[in-house]
Amino acid sequence: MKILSIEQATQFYNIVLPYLPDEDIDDPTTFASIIVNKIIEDEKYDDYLEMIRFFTDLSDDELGELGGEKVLLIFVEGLVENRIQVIKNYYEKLGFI
Amino acid sequence: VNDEIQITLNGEVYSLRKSKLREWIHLESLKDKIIELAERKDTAFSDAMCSYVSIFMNVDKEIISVLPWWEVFLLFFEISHFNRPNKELPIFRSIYEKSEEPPWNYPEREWYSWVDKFASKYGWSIEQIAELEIEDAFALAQEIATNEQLEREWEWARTEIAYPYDQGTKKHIFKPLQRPFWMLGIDPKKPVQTVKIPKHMMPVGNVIRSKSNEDIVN
Repeated sequence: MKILSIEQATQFYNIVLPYLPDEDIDDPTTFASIIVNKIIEDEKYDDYLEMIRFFTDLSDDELGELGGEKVLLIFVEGLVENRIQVIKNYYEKLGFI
Repeated sequence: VNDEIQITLNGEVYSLRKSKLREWIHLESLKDKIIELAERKDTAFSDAMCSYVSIFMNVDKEIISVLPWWEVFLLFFEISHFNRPNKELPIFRSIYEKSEEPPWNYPEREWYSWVDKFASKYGWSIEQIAELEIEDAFALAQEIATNEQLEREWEWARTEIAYPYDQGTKKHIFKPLQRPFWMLGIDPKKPVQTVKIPKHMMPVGNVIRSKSNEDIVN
């Protein structure tokens, strides 16, 4: 799993921001499912793929071969290991809203 | 007063002291830039934040820029908190006074204005000024500003315009020179007190309240 530098995290934050829940969610699975559901609702599958690219070196073809569930697992793990649950608090503290 | 901080970076412990005046001014300008860029949602803020941490820690920016993002944020918050002046001087309140950027402004002007202030007053060299402790620099800057203001007030009191003619009393009344905010003993952070108005001072007559904003009350 790739850990994001501040430059990558800022790019990631710009993509994930519209999908972040307003309230703090402690459970990582619930947190990820809120984001995924919002992506499905808005039909923004490109954003989903772009975010996954931040977490893995796998190519789009390799991701396609993995299947939806495994890709989702990479996404959830990426969110957890990169502390995306708290990213909003940090960026908001600087006025990056 | 804790003037030393220990920061662990990639397993190495760094014992760091507070910035001296020149570095402090540089870091404060950088901090303003970070906040300004962040508020504009400009991704360049991340590079400025890495510079901030790198300058204070005297570590290559490349080392900082590959750290996990939250570590850079935490370092930035920790350093900016540690590096703030300890003294609560009234002159700090001057930041609440509105000031527009003059056309003769340029990057790093703040540093040169400090040099100008201390060099002209005390005859110190640029190197001596750069190495000042920030608490000493601020306390001395307040002394200089106080003396300048009192001198201006003295000169003002000796001019005609300080005594405008009052039509009511048919006399010239002394009008003191306005003092800067921080010399007035007002704390701008303190909320304005709510004062109850006695009933007898309220407007006389029936007050007819409108049912909605569109209603016109005659």
